[in-house]
Amino acid sequence: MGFAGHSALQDWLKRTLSARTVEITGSMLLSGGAIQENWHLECLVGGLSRNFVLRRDAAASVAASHSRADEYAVLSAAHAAGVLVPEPIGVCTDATIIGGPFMLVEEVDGVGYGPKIVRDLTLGGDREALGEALGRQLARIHAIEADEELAQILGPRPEDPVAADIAWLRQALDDLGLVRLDLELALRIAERHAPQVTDVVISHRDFRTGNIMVDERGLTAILDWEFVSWAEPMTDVGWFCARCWRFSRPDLEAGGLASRDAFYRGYADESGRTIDAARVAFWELMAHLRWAVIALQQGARHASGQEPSLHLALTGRIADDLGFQALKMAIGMERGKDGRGGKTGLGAAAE
Amino acid sequence: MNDARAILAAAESLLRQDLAEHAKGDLRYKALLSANAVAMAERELALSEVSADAAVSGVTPHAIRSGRHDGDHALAGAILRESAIRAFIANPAALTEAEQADFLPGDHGA
Repeated sequence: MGFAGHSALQDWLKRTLSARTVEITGSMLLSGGAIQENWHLECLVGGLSRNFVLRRDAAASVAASHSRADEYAVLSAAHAAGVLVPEPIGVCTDATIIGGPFMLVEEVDGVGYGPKIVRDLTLGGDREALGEALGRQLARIHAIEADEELAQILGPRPEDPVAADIAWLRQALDDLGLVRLDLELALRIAERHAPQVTDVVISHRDFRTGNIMVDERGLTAILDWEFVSWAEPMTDVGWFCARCWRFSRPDLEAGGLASRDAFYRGYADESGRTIDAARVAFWELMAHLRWAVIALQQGARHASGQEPSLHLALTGRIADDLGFQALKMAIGMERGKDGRGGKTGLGAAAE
Repeated sequence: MNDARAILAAAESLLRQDLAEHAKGDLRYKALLSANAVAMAERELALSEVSADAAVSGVTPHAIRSGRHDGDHALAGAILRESAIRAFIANPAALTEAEQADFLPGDHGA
């Protein structure tokens, strides 16, 4: 179904935009969004053409994501902090309008499909400049101050967000009822080599090439704010740089887009923080584990019969590749820390 | 008589060559997705007889979490091997050629 001519939604838009007339002339379900549905809306607002994106929950959502209302509050805070996001228009928790909560933002021009952005060099402008711009954007996100509303949504700032992440991953595996020794062992090694937490900031938690929009000149928006939470600052840096998110360009270590140096330079300049390579390496390992667990959650939506889909079933199997890469990284990390650099025994196997 | 692997291989070829080649858009995507799924099932069947490593049997998540196996390099190696086979089934490109030679039984690999 679409929203063209949807009278309840048109009335809501009229109130929200304080417009005399609003007509929804067209709508289309946009691609992507296993967790949320995004709809493109074409409207005439007081006779003038304006396009919006309406976002609502897909049939089933992943446990770690915020409600639409919370996501809207987070997006608004990011907008106020000068982060490049689609302009927030409004949020609606009244289920009688379209059958469930939704939020609305101004539509941003550009391409938001990660594999295409990585592959198509006519997009994104100069790639090193894009990497630096993304580093600056991430630093601005990490500088967002929690006002009262945000503090309530995010909960208390955790003393030890690393331990919280590890606990979340283990609980998720338990909830799935899966025994995955590769993930367990990689996680245990990560736990034993976890960095000391000195800083906890508001973090995006899904900052990666699949969640940005670019046009031919450069970055136009940072998207998908549903996983925002407190985290150690290098959590997002590791997620962005993790090999599993570089698509067809594993050689470009900043998200398959740019050199790590360019991304780090933008981040360090804007934030004043120094980037510690070992800390980022830890978070790249954790990124593989987190993505593996989320992939398993998506696979479970098929396996449970809740949402039969070959695509979801195959997404679940991505965890098999991720588990192997994670365990190799973990074993490499353990060997490095123990000062056993040689290619002996297990070491050779894990190269 | 064709065994299950041969039948799956034929189905994959039909999906990938006959259907996907001549389809467009969503239909082509679905044909390729199905071809990948069939190929995965074929690899899983082919590797189903690789015997489980005795070192891994009886190891529980709880034991790993509680640190009982910390520093046990033999166990880590056995888990890594099982993980490698599983990764190869899901995506052969997950393993480098050297890893395929190291982890897969003799007649498998790319």
